[in-house]
Amino acid sequence: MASTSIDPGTRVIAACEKYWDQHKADCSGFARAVAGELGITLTGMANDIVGEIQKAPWTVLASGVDAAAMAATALVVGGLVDQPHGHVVIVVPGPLAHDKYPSAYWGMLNGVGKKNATTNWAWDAAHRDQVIYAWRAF
Amino acid sequence: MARILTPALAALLAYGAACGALARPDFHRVEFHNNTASANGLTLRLADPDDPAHPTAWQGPLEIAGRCTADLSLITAVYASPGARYLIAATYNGSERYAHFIDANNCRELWPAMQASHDFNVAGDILSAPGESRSQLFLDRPPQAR
Repeated sequence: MASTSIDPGTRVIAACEKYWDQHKADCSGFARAVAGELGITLTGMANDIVGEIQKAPWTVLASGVDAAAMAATALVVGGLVDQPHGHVVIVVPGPLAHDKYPSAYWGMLNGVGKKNATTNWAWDAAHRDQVIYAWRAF
Repeated sequence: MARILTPALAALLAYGAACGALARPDFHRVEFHNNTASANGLTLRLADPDDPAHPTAWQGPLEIAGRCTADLSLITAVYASPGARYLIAATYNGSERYAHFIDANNCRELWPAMQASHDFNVAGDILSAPGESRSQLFLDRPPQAR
């Protein structure tokens, strides 16, 4: 019950901190774990999740700026389809890089993701502006 | 005279060809200090590290001082070999990793980048991604899958 009195953004950060070590080598596993902690089900690998967040009850956001703003009040997921493996991140309240790339946590398949870093460290310059962000209340 | 020189010349050419065929690159990771490194007489610079004290990635680009700039981002490592006409730059995007073959003279990509879902390992004349691919490297021609 105590957790419900904490603001949503802080709850998302707490969930990210709770699961990052366990899933730092698996972006989709990390996203599923954080969402599950907040009572939201995400399924499949990163490419599946990117498809899922573009359908109701998720709402797609127009930009990383909107994603950063919404992260204070909801769960915000960012993602981009790729082959063979896409990538997803959990957006958290925090600074923007270059006035447009929000702060986030993520795991990295077969590697080590990043904690509370801006998403220009998740996708390269050719792809970072194509990332899809979406939110859902919890 | 021509009869004497011809076999000698042929032998010399054959020896040269054999040496060329046997020559293998010896790639090693270039160590950057304050985002700058020296390799094979080149000065390399990487821009914008994730952690200035202990960088694990750079936003880029990769500059070969006095020559050119390679427009790469999210660079995690650069490899060089004596005698090789190119550098290997490791980058990532999302969950995927890439190995770029950068011409040391003009920074153009000599051959298509290789892609993997694991970090690339480069050692001597081998480029590998654990469980995915293993390629033979050469001094001046494209890698070959082994």
